Amino acid sequence: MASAGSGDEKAAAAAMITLISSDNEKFEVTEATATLSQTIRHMIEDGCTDGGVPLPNVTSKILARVIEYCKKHATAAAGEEGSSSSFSDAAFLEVDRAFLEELEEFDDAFLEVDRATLFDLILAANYLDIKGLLNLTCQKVADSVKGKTPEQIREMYNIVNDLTPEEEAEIRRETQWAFE
Amino acid sequence: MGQVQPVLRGRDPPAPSLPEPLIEEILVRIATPRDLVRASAACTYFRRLVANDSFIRRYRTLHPSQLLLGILSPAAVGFLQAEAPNPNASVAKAFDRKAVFSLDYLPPREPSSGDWSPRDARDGRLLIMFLLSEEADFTTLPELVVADPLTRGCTMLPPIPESIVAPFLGADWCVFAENFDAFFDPSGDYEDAHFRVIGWTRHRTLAVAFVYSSHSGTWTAGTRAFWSDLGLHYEYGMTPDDWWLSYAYGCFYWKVPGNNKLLKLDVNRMEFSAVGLPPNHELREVAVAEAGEGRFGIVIRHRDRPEYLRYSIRQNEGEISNEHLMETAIMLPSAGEICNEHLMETTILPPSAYDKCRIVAVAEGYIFLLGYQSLSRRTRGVCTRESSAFYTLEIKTLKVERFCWTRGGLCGRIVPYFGFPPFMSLRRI
Repeated sequence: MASAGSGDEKAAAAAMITLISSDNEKFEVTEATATLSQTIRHMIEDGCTDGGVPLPNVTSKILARVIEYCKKHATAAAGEEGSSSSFSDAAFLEVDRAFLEELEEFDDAFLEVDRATLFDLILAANYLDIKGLLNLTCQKVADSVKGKTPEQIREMYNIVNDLTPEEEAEIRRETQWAFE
Repeated sequence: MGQVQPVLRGRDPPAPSLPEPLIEEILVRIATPRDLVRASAACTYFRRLVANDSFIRRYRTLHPSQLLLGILSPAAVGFLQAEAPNPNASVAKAFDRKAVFSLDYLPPREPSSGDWSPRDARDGRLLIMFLLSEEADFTTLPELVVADPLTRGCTMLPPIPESIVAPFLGADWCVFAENFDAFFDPSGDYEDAHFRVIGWTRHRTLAVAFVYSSHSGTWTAGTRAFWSDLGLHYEYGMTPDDWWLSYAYGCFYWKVPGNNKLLKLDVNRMEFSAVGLPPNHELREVAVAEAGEGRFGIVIRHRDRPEYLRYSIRQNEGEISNEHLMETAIMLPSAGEICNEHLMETTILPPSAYDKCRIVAVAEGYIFLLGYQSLSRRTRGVCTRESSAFYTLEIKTLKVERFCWTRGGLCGRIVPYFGFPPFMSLRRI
């Protein structure tokens, strides 16, 4: 990660991108972090990131979280690339496993948010086209219905039941095994 | 569409709602068909989405491990459902209500000459063969039908043309049907529209294989190999059911009775070869399975007393014959476990209710075992007693679990049936 005051500050600064949230807050991130988003990667490739990248669909609160995720995972990606033969295979595997575990712990902690924030993160991940984050957040919602009844699922997600009683009876008849 | 919003509490900011493509992203990640069905009953939009063919295809691709629903036994016994406490028991029951395994709808054959018998099942299709009895006219070719048990649709495969059989078998042509067997080719992506069937037979001097492609609708000559060229000798008196097959990484494997080798058929190269085993495996049953990352999981049934199974992992096929190499210890919950730490192998004892435990099939990461009492053994097949039962050994976890009882039927060839709940099944024939 780029840190201020180092000798190659200039090179690092050259690779910084400014992201601007819907409420006009500015976030400076490295290009490596920003390009986890395919949307931003394309903007960089097209050379239209001068003066910052406006993200009118993402609030500063959500953008800060998204950046937190990207920073962590960009470091992970860099770590993988940098894994040269300086380690023996066994030592490397050991380091690799420790790192993956740490990343998993990070993801678990990252997902400890209320459902409204989780939905905002899904929308942001979709808009910014960050595959890993979209997968992570959608999986979290998918996992939340485990063992729940349709009524509980409706309640959790404000879903209006527009099935007629006949349709409901039909579903239960056809897929009785799922309700036993 | 149904509005999907998280429930708000107190002074939370306004909740976002998700557009339809993102709802699909969530539903397709629900881990089990049971939870998916419950979620789909939340509103009409979910229900419509989940019933869509393209959604079902995507779900099946993302969650490829189909459910082990039952075991197909010879026609007289039919479909043996997964039994509680197996987690698939209730789905299997629902499936059995919808599916037709009776084979009554197949064209009738002379009752004295044999019976329709299931040979293989894959991707919702059944491969059924008309089995010839001992007295049958050996010049008759076996008949093969591919059926969809949910739709009752079936399609009869054309006979293997004499023009491709005769050059392979020569003077042994008349015994072609005697040991004939057939199975689906699991390699390649034939799930949707097409399938391939491999038919093979063997005799005192050689083994031959033929390939049917539903794409071309024709049989082609596969390959042939002489036992002597493979360093194998052929023993008589083995029934086709003794030759259950294993599959791993594009190749089929059979333990050749009386030999210290496996017969291998490479499907892509269409080539028979032999794979050596460690010493003293002439009389042992050997099953091969994929152990992940290109490695081979080997299950060996030892006939010592008490009987037991031994599992080891080999880095590659060449190591199968190596006695002391790269074996992985996996601790088992069963009390009867013997773990040789030096060799790092895992030993699995048969279910305690039985003194015998025999490998009867290998499929999709499971070894199928028949637990029975030794008194009931006969020369051909195993006459099972009421109390005998099928067990599964899952390669990934090495857990041995009771699957179902055998209904006291004669256990010949069994065909494990994997599938999806009825609502997720796609028309096959």
